[in-house]
Amino acid sequence: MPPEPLPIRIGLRQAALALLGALALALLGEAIQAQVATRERCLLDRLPIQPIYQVRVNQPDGQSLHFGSPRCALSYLERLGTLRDLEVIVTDEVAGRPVPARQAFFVQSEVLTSRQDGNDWHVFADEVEARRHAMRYEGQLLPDPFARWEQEAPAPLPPAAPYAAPVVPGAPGAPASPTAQPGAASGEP
Amino acid sequence: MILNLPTMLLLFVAGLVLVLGLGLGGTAGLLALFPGEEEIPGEPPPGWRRSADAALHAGVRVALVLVGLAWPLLYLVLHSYVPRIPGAMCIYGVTQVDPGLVHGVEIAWPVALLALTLGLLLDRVDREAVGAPNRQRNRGVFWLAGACLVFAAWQTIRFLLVDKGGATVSCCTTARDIAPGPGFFQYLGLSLLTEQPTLTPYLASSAGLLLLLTLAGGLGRRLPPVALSPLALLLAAAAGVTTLVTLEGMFGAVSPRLLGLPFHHCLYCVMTEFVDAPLFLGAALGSALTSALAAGVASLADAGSSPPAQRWTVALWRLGAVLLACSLVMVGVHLIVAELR
Repeated sequence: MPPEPLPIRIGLRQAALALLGALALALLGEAIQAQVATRERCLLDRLPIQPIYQVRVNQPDGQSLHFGSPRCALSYLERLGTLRDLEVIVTDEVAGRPVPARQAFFVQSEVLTSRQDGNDWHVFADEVEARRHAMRYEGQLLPDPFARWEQEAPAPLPPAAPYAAPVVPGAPGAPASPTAQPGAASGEP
Repeated sequence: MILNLPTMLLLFVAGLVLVLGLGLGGTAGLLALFPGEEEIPGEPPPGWRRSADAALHAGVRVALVLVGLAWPLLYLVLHSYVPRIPGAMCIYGVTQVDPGLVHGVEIAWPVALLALTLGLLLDRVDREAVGAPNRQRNRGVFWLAGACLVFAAWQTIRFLLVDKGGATVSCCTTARDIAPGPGFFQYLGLSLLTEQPTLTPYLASSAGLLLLLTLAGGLGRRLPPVALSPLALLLAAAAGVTTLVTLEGMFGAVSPRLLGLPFHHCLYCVMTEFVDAPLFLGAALGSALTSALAAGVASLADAGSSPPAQRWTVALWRLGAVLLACSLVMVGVHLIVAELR
């Protein structure tokens, strides 16, 4: 007498179909995620970046890290702890334009830009605006918090040479050909 | 208390489950304690017991639907709290407000689901058997399911009503697979375990359980019936351990790899980023659930002498093996794509 069939029929065929379905679903999930990933998101918390608070960190190898706020960038850099010689570009929250962190004014106040990342850092290109925000919202004007990760300040440029009239080829006292002394006219050493 | 639409919905569902759980537990307890001498095996019980029995079965089905609603609704509620709790970036941050209570709620719903499904399955097996020999025992299981429902609903209501104001949490953790592994394993030369202390155990234990479930499902009907019950208990224990290792591996290794973030990574984020993530996690948990159900059926419905219990045990093993294989295939595809990215 043959055994009674199982209450749930699962044989090789059903198992193979289920596995093919799982494979298709995983590939579909990857395809959808690839579409979603094209939106710019914070590297720390994966939330969409608001342009007015964004921070860009350029690494020496040319790679850029994007964050939704100074707090996210600070949190990331503090935890990773190995990055050095970075160029940090913050965003002036008044005009919305990028400013090197070295030249920006930072205020930590009681105003949160987002409850989710808890960012209370505010960035200004203008010192007057920064002081006004600090006074109005019980804030504190603070030095550049990214200083310890940033690259050394570039060496100051040599003093400019005194103005000289452009040399016209063929004029009296001019060299025979402009290619004879390359860079001389443009002031290169 | 944070008041929003998902909270109100979950409060309503949890309230219904609480009442239903009390009713089910009470009815099942009464029927188990006072079976009545005139009850004939295989026949519906006479008198008030007949109505109570029918109400019990209808109630269990309604409870199953409500638990199926409440479990995903819980995660919708946690997700809706993210912007309201300072420092929380995702559901993981919300769980940090009161980790003991939230994790208790997270575990209580699947346990209630397991108890309800086991009760229904035992009832089905009993009806397929000659003379419904385990009716009284099944009422005991329904009483237990009622208690699980009451516990899950009560914990959920407690969590929803608790004051969450002023809580500041942090979502950031360090991925365990990035952190250096324990020196003991390094000394033993287990480099894979040292370098990937959560991924390797996850893949190894899942593959082992898959092999065992496939073997048991394939050979189950040729095994001596007396061996089914101990084997089912052994497999359920293995599935329990594998579930813990799987969750650890998903949090510690799979999620960081899939998301590509070193500090902010968790299974909850993967669930919101990848549309198929609830499926691969659900399939892994489903495999553990079917293994536990197989153990429950084999031992409580006496698979040693009951052919329906034997058939159900083998079928559940096969179902568990297929679910686990599907989960591993899906996770494998994502890990390979993440490596190639």
